[in-house]
Order: sequence, then structure tokens, then C-alpha cells
Amino acid sequence: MSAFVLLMALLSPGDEAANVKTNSVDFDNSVIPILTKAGCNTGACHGAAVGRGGFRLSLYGGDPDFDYRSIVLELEGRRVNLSRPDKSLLVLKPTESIEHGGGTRLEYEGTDAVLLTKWIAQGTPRVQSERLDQFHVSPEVHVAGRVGAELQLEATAHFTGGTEVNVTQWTVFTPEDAAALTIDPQTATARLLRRGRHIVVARYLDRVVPIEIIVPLSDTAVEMAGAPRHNFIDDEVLQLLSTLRIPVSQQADSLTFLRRATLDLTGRLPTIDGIGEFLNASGPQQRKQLIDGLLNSAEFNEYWTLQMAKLLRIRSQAKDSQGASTYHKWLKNQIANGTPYDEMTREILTATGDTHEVGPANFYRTVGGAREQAEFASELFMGNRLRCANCHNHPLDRWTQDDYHGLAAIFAKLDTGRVIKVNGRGEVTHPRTGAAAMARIPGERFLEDDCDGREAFAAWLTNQQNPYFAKAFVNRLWKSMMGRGLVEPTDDLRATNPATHPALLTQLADDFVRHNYDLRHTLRRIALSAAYSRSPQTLPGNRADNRFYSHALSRPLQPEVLADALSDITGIAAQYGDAPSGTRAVALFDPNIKSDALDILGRCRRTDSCEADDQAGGGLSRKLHLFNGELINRRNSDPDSRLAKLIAAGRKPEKIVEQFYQLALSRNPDERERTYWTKQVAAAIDAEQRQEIMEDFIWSLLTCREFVTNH
Amino acid sequence: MSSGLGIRACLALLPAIAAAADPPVTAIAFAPDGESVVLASQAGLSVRDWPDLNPVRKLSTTLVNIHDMAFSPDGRSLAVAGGTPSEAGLAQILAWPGGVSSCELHGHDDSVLAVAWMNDSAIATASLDHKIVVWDVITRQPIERLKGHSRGVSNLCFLRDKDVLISSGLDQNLRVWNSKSGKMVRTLNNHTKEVHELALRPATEGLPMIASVSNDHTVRLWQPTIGRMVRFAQLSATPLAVEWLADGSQVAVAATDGYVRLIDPDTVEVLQTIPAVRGWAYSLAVHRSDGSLLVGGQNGQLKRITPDSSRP
Repeated sequence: MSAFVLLMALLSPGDEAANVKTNSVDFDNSVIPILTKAGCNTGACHGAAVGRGGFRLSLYGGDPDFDYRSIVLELEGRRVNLSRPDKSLLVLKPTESIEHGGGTRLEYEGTDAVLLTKWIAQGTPRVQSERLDQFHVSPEVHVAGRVGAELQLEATAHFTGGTEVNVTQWTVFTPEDAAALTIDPQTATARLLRRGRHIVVARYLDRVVPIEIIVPLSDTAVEMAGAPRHNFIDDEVLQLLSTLRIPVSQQADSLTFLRRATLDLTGRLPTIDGIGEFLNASGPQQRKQLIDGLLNSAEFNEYWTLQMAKLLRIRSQAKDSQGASTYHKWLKNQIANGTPYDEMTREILTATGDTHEVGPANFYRTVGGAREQAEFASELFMGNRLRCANCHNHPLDRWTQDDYHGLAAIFAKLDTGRVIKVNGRGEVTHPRTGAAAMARIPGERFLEDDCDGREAFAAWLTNQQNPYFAKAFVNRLWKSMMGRGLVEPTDDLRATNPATHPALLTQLADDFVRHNYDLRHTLRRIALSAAYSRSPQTLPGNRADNRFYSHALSRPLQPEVLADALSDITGIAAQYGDAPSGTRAVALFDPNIKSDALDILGRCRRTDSCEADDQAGGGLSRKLHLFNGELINRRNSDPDSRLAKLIAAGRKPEKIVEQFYQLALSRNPDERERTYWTKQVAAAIDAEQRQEIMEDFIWSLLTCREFVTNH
Repeated sequence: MSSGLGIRACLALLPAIAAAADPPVTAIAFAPDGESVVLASQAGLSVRDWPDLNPVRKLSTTLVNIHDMAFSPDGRSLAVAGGTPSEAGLAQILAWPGGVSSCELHGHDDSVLAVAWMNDSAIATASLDHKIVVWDVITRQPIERLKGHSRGVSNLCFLRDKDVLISSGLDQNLRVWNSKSGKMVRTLNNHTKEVHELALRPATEGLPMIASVSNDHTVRLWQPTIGRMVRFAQLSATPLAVEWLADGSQVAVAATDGYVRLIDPDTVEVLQTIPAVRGWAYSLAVHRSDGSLLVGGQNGQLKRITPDSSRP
């Protein structure tokens, strides 16, 4: 028996990934997974954009053609030795038989090294007898009993020819948090190190799928039977909390709910009259009536125009504010008229004309360049980061360079000066081919070259079956109301970044579509859930929870909302550029308008996404300005301030304290607070000192955490 | 899974296994008398008769990979360049026609991709270790080490006065050197991707001209002594090897699509596109007297091409 035949015979039983029909090693389905499993084609190694050590592979094997050229053909085939297969660099380097900067990646006597050698001995055939059809992992979801438990992971590939192969050995299992669990790369056994919900990403060929592993946060089951359930949201949220054994906090009291809902839906604090009306309307319909009233208010239109304007990044262009103004007015009308989100999106995407007259046409002046437009559109409307597929196929998602440059090719056919029009000539160069990219609906199909692809893209995007559009939007609505997206970041929806509550996200999206893409409907659905009504007060068992909604999350007020709140409470309105006096910050169309207040409070100028800013909550600089700067102090001591007027009107200090508590915190001071401030005022020796104490009181109120957050 | 013992046994046997496919022909050199041609690949060196290409004999070499060959000006020596990838690069000097090794020039840390004779007793070698070394083949000692390329050096040629050396690199640049002083004179940086090969135009009037081919799909023509890129041709495939026809009237380019293209250097028009091999065509040589081309490619393919002289 020859050595080669002996080798083949010995390999055959375990050599399942080799082409079983021809016995040729399958480059695409066998060689590349070995390199991926060994980490050769990661971004830190030869998968880097410039390669490493003069050898470049496609990232995670996303481009087998490229890899074959690199391995077999480049530099006169120096990486494989067809006369002495075992002397090939492809084998010697990863087995560290010669010096290798990446260390030992394959065992010299291991099956992978032998398979590589066998492939070279076969003459480096480019065989791909079957294409990967489906890739499954087991388990997909697992609830473990305890920390320290072990779990066997398995991966199965189903090929188009009907072959089913256990590819666990060639699958890369990567935990999202390496401190939460470890995975033995040889045996694919996970060992759980920490309680919580953990994600493991399994990669084989160009497929990546998540595995969800849960280790309950407590050894004791929690009782959920008594927890209120108002709609499907609560079913999903409580089910996961039960699995995780996280107890739920009580429902928030009425005034906390009032302040939260009013801020979330109108960007304003409840007025003193509003508080009274709400309390007078006690009963089972109290909260529903409040929510409906807020959703139908002019303040809602103004505030949600701001929210949408941030998403759309509406801002003045250089020496041209007219377009942004027109865009903002158009948007406000859409919100006020209850235009369905899909309709609004179609109008934006297919807009043409003079941007001073056609509001949505300004969408095409938001970012510069067709590629940037593709990135913006995909992040905004699909919640997907197509930008990763600019230089290489997306390593963690389905997007390819064809998708990225194909979508850019659609936008390239536009003139994006003041007048938006289709020129039909523009193109983008595909970096892999060096030729003009073909227009393409991402992940779907190429388009005819001579059409305006925007129509097709908009139709595909807003189709009821589209898997991205509705989810991306309801996830943002959820974040706006609940303080955290079901998927974070909100522009990064992908299988390997799964939602904390996947079924809930799907139900919310389906519900949104069923109700004609109605923004108000979904906001109402969320606002009336028991999950939304939860108290921010934590329990010992849920204090660490920041993503499963066992208690309300405290969120910093947006800069525009805080600026308006300061104006409302102090009675001294901020001035914004040359806007009419009394203009509210949330009503401004241009985020770059001159304003010290917004500068201090940390506004987003909308040149990039504002979604990260919303999470930040301001930094040290903002807090120092707020505490020590003139933003509060100057207005506090202004003779026209609310405080000055109340004092001048002879209002008693305790009544002034009560009124400011109601204005800022939507509640009365409790006994301890009331007593404290009464003592402080009583200690004043004269009116001047009394006023100073009252100014100190307002300063402390407006800088306290309870005021600067929605909770 | 296979047993460890079985795999161990297999690996012990593996060195004896040759691949099912022939290795690519990476270098071609016509013998000085034009009666035979030497071919290089991972399988070693073989001599074939010309023009029938019948195997004549094999030459012994210590090189694992061979990337280039060149006959000395007096035709009495053949320099063979290559090495063991990622470990060592060397040139071996074989007496011609006997084929006996007269010396090995060790000194590179990675494979030598190109070799060129400066005169009958000196050669230059270019390596993936980023360096060029000029050697005295009598003393077997380096004369100069030329450092300037930031990545591997892919090819070399001396101008006719022998004092000027041109090199091409994977760093996308051509560099012009004074081979006596070892100083770099200038860099020619118009290529936008790795440069594979260079070829000096046979004696014509005027300034010396070289052609270079690159992964950027271009063939560029240069006057290196004045640092000028004269013109370039854009191709639909990646050119890998370049030679001038014997009279200097056309540039021949072998490419990754297996075709050879003949290009007019004055107009950079592609005059002929000739199918040569299946897959990548790595090597190319011009017979100095009969005008034929020999192309080497993947899987040991060889193709003799006689340009259509009836065409311009």
C-alpha cells in the first residue's frame, strides 16, 4: 500500500469534511475552516487588511477565491510545495516547524495539518462539490443549573447535495464575554464561570449563529404569578426574568409614572396643573387617559419631530439653512398627521427636487458621497452596519462587498446639490473587481443598470415581510421609552448580536406593521405595559440588572429637554441664536444654532449618529458646568426669575419650596426635605440671606440626580 | 477521529509523497547557444532541447523553490535563485553546460526571487527579505547590500553600463541604484500595487528603457536614468512576467489569464493577445535568434509561441 493511500485510508473515518464523493479535499469546505479555526484569517493575523508577514487572507475566509490565489498562486506558488507537500509553508508555519510569528496554530501530528498536507498532495485542487446550505448549532438556547457547569456544543453543516456533516471540530466558538465562560477549542465544551445571560458566536465558513446560555442569577426561583401583565410585552419580559430568577420591582407610583411618561412622550415636565388633573383622574383609566392625551398633544408632535430629526440628522448645510428648515417642517407635518413610517420612508428615499422646497429631498444632502449614503441608509432604516462590508465581507453578518457597493451604486446615480435629481451616470468602483459596482438590493438581487434603484430599494425595504425595517424602528422606540434597546447598539441588528428578548422584538415589529406602521400605536403599547410602569427602586435581587427590565432604568434627560426644563423652572428662557425669544430647544431645526446652554449640556450636532450621545449622559465637563457655571446660577439670581417673582409676591418660603419640588420633580417634598429647608430658611438673619438660601435650594434641586434624569 | 498513532505513521511517510499536479514553471532561460532551454520549478531544474522541448536531462540543485535563472554574459555559468521559503534565500552557480555546482551564495533570510549578472564574476540577488545583495562569485563574498525596499524585492536588471541597477518591489516601487556605491539614486513610484517583474529593452537609440508589470494591471515603460515614466498600458488581467522581443520592437507580457500580450511600446497598444496556458502564466523567455517565446505556467504547462510577424 502506498503512503498516500495509507494516509487516505487512515484519514477517511474522521475526515468527514473532505469531499466524500471524490475523496478530494474540498478547499472551500475543508481547508478554509481549518484556517478559520486556527485563527489564521482573523483581523489580528493574516485576515488584516494588509495581511501579516506578506501573507494576506480574506477575513474569516469570506472570499475563498482570494484565499486560493493567496495560498496557491501568488509568488509563484511558494506557499505550497507540490513536489514536497510536507515542506509547504502552509503546513510548516502553523505547525511552527519553522519560525512563525503567530506561534503554533496546528498540531504537527493533528488531523488538520494532515488534511492540509493531503490537499497539497492532491495538487491543491479547487474543489467545492457542495455548497453550504444550512448551519445549525446545538443547543441554540441553554439554561444551566449552576456556575461551573459544563455544556457540550455541537455544530452541523447541511450541504446542498444533501450531505450532513458534524463540523464541531472546525467551528469556531467565541464567547461574547470571555470572563463569563470558557470554551475548549478542541472539545467544544463550554464551562460556565459567571451567572447571567451569555452569548456565544459559532462560526463555520461564512455562517455565524449565536448560542444563548443562561445561568440564573439566583439559586432560588422567583414568584412571577402576582406580577402585573398588561399586554404581550409583559409576558415576554416576565418569562425571561423568571428564567433568570430576577425579582421585579413594584409598579411606580402615580407621580413617578406621570413624570416619566410626560418626559418620554413630550420632552417636558408635567405642569403643576397637569399633576393636579392626573391625580384627580384616579381610577383604572387614569394612565390610559394620560398616555392618550400626551400622544395627541402638540407637545408630542414637537418632541417626536426632534427625535426623528436626530435620527435623520437634519441640520443646516454650509451657508444654507433653508433646506433644513423645509425638511424639519415637512417632518413635523408627517408626525402631526400621523403619517405611517413606511410611507414617510418611501417619500424620503425616492425624493427629488429643490431641497428648499421638497423637504425629504434633503435626505440626500445629509452625508457626502454614495458610500456614506449607503451606510447612513442601512443604519437608519435597517439598523444594520453595512459599512463593515466596504473593505471585506461583513465578518459577523450576511453582508458582502457586493451588497455594500451595490447599495452605494443606487445612490451614486444622484446629483446631490441643492436640487436632487437622477443623473443615471454616477457609479462607484467595486474595490475587489476594480470595475463599476452593480446596483443591488442588499442581500437580495442585482438591479437593471438603467433604472433609478431607489424605487426598488424603498419597495423592498418597506415591504411587510422585510426583516429589518420594522424591527430597527421599534427597537429605537423601545429604547426611547425603556432606556435600553432590545438590541444594542440600535444600528447593529444582526444574528450575532441578538436581542435580549428576540420574541418580543418580533412581536413588537409585527404589531407595528399590523397597525400600519403607526408610531403612536407602538409608543402607546409600550407605555401601557407593566414593564414600562415599573418603579426605579431596586430590590436586592435586581439591583445589578440593567437590561432585563426588572425595574425602571434611570436615563439622563436629553440636552434639549434639560435646557427647556431649566427655562421652565427658573422662569428665564434661554436664547437660541436669532430664533424668536421663547423658542424651545426641542423645536429648533438646526442643532448648530448658537447656544451656550446646549453647548454646556452636550448637544449632538448630527454630523454623525446621535444615538451614542443619548447614552452618554454627559461627561465631567458637563456636570461641572451645570454645578458651577452660570447656566443655573445666573438665571437663579435674575430679578425676573420665578423665584424673584414669588418672593416679591410675598409667597412663604415653604410654599416656594413645595412649588419648585412639584415643578422639578413632580412631587411634594417629603417630611425630611420639608423640615430641612424650613430650618435653613428660619436660620436666615435677614431677607437678603433668605433669598440666598432659596437660591441655594433651587440650585440643589436643579443639580440633583432626581431632576436631571428620567426614571 | 483518526488515531494519533496512525497519523504519526502517515506524517512519517508524507515526505515521499509527490503531489498529483505538477508544480508551476517559475523560470525559463535559453542556453547561450539557443539549442536548449532550462526550466525551473519546485521539481528542480530540467533541460529540454529547442524547439521540440524534449527532455534532455536534469540538473542537480539544492534549492527547494526556484524563482529565477540567468546565464552569465560569457555563457559559461548559470545562476539559479530561490531558497527555502521563510528560512533562507540563496543563489547557486552552475557551470554550463556541465551543470556542476561551483558555488552557493548564502546570505538572505528568505527566498531569492531574482538574479542578474553584473559581469562574469558578479551577480546581484533580490530577496523577499527586502534586500538586494551584490556578490563576487569568485570569492563568494557580498560586495554591497542595498537596502531601501520596504517589502520583498521581486526583480532586478542592470543597465548596459552596469553601474546602474534597477529593482522592483512588492512595496509598489521601482528603485534605481548605483551598484558600485550601493546608494539609491531615486524611486519610481507610479505603480499602485506590487510590482512583479522588470525587463530592459534591448539596445536602441536614446535613453535606456525598461518595462515593469504590476498587480495594478499595468505595464509601465520607464526611462530610469532620468526618473521618468514614459507611458503605460492597462490590461484586463494581472501581468506576471515581462520580456522584450529580441529587436526591442514589442513588449511581451504573460498574465494570470494565461494569455501573452504583445504591446507596442510607442503607442502602448496591445497588438496581439495570444492564448498560452490554462491558469496563471508565470514565466516567459524570448529566444534571441528565432524570435519565439516560451511561456511557463501552472501544472508544469509550457507553450511555445511564434508571434505573428505579419501583424504589426
